[in-house]
Amino acid sequence: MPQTPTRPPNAGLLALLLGLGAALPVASLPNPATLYQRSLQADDLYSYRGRQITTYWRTGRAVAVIVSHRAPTLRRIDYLAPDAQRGRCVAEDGAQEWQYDPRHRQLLHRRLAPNAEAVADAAERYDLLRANYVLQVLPQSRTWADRKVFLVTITRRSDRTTARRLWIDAATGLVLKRENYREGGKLALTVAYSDVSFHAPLPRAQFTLSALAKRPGVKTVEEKPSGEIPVSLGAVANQFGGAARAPARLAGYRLVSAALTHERKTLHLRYSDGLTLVSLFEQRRTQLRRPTRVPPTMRPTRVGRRDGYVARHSALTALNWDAGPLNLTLMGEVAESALRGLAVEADR
Amino acid sequence: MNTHPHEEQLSAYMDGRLDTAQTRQVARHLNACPTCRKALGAFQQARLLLRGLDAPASPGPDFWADAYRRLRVEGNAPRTLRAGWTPRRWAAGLAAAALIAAAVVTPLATPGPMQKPPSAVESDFVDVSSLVRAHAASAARQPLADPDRQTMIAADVDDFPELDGAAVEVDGHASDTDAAP
Repeated sequence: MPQTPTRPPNAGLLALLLGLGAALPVASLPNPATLYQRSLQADDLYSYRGRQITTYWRTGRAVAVIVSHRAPTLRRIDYLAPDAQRGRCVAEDGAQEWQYDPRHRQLLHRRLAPNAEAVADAAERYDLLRANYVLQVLPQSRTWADRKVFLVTITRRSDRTTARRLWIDAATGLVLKRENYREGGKLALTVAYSDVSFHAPLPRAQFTLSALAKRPGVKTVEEKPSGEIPVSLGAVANQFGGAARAPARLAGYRLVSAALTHERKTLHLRYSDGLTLVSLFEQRRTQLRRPTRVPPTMRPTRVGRRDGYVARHSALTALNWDAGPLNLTLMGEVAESALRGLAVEADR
Repeated sequence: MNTHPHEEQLSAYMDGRLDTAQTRQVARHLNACPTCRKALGAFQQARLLLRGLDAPASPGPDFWADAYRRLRVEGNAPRTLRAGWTPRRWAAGLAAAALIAAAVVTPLATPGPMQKPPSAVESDFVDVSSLVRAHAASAARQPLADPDRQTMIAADVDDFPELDGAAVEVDGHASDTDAAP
């Protein structure tokens, strides 16, 4: 069991992280397509436990967690830092998920919807990725967290700036470190394992928190299932009596999957550029005479020529606006200006 | 004991809740059965992990004094603060006021049987938090995604009811993909 830090990660920790990587002599390099394929399969094949640190470079803040994964679907995240989140835990056994918040002694439980994503089409996704980005395996073998890794850079074709750098474990394909860059090539965040073990004991009982529900003082909250119903791409335009908007493309993004959620009242369209997912949520308006209400602290803004709202959560940006009989929400981890451009396209 | 003990029995054995005869029986069985020893090991491991999830202890002895100091520092102390109102009495007063407020406000704020709280699609209201969770769940399933970070985003969304930039900054999850300098 790794030692748990008692204070939030600081500059020393970040320096340690940066110091973990070291270049080794050149070795034979796999091609990017092979590495991509292997990284997609890593979680299905390998069980591991490691300490992972996410650093948000703009604010210098960091979140440290222990990730436990038992192949193929059991997963658990234990928060170590910052102090305000220490003790939080998210566990998933493939069919159910628990989130425990020790501050409020609250256990949130929900049944997971079946995976509606067509992730099986890896070759198609890889083509999409290559259409928007250039992948390159750097001609140097390296180590990260005491393991041999290949460093893959993913560069945007549009402006030739770096979008991602991935340190992929040579033996398993697991991504041990990743750097996400903003448009313009500025480093936004780093997600990195400081240590990882593929031999840690991972008993099944770790991946369920149902025992906590019986503890005195713990409040269990059952979340209503979203009731997600996959919609084939060909049938998207027929939803809401034909009123749904279903552009097949938004700039470099392509519609990759769709589902009806929230008792069939929300249509969730997922657009991908091969690397980043953008969601377009469509809901039928029930009050056409007045604007749809949003959480009160969303900021008013303009979406093209329409009035709308903008909000941010973590690295996500969300835009919401009324468009005739529909209310649309577009969100993704992309710059607000880029998201606005996509919103205007979605509204055409 | 020829048959394997049930999970409940193993759990009770671990807690010391079995009587002497039962404890001996289970111990004897464990001595001879590697499968049950393994199961017991898993139980013990799970318990150790759960132990780390305990809530922080109740406020320490300095809590109220500190709260009182803050009231004064932040200029929120009532102007009619009188001598003799010690931190302890202030705490009692605040607690009583909170109880009264709760008694008055709660029935107004709590939805009645016909007043359901708005969901993501209830009437003309959009619950963006619910949509963030749906997006994060989908994003976690994408190729080359960061499943753990997406899970964290989905799990944290209730901590950010404001969903605005200020709230994000306070909790340290800056909008790092934002184009602002």
